[in-house]
Amino acid sequence: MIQPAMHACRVYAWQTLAVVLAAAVALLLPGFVAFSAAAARDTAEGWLSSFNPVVYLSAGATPADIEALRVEMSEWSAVETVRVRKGADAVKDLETRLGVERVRELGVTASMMPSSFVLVPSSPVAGHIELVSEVSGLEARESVDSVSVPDATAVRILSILSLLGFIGGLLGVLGLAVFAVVISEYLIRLQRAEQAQNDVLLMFGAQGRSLRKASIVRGVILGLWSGGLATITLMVALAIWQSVMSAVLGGSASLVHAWPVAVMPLAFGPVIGVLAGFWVSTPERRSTDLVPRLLTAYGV
Amino acid sequence: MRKDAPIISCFHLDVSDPTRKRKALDDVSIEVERGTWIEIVGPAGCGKTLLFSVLSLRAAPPKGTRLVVAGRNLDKMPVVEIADMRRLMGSACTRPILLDDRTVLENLVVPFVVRGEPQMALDACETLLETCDLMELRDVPVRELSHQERIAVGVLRAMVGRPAGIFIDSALDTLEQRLQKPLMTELKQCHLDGSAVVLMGYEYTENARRGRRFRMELGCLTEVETPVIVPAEISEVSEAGGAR
Repeated sequence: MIQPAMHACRVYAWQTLAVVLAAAVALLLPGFVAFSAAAARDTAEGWLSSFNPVVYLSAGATPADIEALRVEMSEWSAVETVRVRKGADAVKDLETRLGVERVRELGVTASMMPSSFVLVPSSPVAGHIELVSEVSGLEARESVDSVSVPDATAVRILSILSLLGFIGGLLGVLGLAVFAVVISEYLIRLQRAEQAQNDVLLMFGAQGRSLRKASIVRGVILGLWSGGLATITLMVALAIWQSVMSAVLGGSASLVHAWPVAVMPLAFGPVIGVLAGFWVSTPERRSTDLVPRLLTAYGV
Repeated sequence: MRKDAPIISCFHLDVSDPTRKRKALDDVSIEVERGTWIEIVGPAGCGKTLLFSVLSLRAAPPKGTRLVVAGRNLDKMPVVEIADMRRLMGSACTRPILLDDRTVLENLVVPFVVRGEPQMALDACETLLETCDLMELRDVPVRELSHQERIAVGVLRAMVGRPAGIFIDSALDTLEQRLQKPLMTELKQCHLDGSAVVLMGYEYTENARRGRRFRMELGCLTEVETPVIVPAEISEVSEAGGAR
């Protein structure tokens, strides 16, 4: 005859569903911003990690200049190996990117392609700003025609993504606050719906903590449902992002920052649910019809 | 908890009511001993319900009041133990809090469940309903009961399981004879079994002779001398079943 904690949620099934959806959206919106920033950052870092700087040699470079340059670059601490790419290798690379037919249509031949050095960094280029600047400096030399390194724009994009991540974090805090308010308000409503039962139980000597248990259990379960729903949605978005980026960049991104963002709602939901359940069930917030108006009015 | 101590003693209970520029309860002291029968009468608004709320532990008393329950000072008692003390009491008023979506029987069983004694609950509740000639209400959802029947169920729930103290606030006054008479008989039985009974209302019942009588006016409680009962009168009262 004492109804279990989730009975009230079943009685108000539609409201419960609406609250779970609203709470999931509260977690999802900032989650999407933070997640997009994290996923874009992961993708950008992944692209930078696989990026090997290229030094294109000018047509007038003598073999002695070329050899001197190769030896010099091999001695740089950030460079693991220096690979020489002849004209034929460059055409092959081009064919891999554009397709054999397209290269043939363009009429590109090995003799047209300049020789170049491909620098394989000892660790991903993203962590070697000095290598980027050193390679950029080579452009001033006569033997060098041009260089290919991530320029300042890439670094700027990364910093924008960091800012987006920060904004996502702030929105996340706001979203958690909205989530907590939505869950708390609904828990208060359910508590009011069970006020008669709680009053009767208290009147005959039930402990306050046994009444609190119902609100806390509801808070955890609603938090779990909302958080689970938000996490599933983010996971689906993450899988789509990963497959799209793999197709665009031609390699799989590790997404080390994006995965934790996707599972955060599942972690935060139940924790905030417990706190909300605990907060709404304190005796001060529990309405009661046991006490006459006069005693309530004077807070005794 | 002391077995020989009064169920509840209240000393110098004061509740001010600034809207009326007088005290709602003015230095009220009363001791409810085990197995005693107490009746408190007074006009509407004299403070009976406030006193009822404090004595039945529905409300915490104002600061400065000394409330001793079963020999233990309530001021120094942790909240957990105050809840335990409520298990000694059963209370009912004119607007009982009932679980509307559940049957009368389910409502009566609640005190047993809370007190952790569900084994004999069903038998005890059915016996009580039968004794009070209310067995037809057994499986009726409370929301379908009349106002009078709701009050009766509230009183029954206060008595169920024979708590050490039974507090009734004006509930019996409003009941029609067919409901009031068996309930009063059962209350007398509870008293004979050792429960302390505190009745509040507008007039004394015939059973007032069994114990102590108080009058409450403008928040002040004064004890009225109880006439000595001769043996013949006791038997008359018993036969009358407690009707006024």
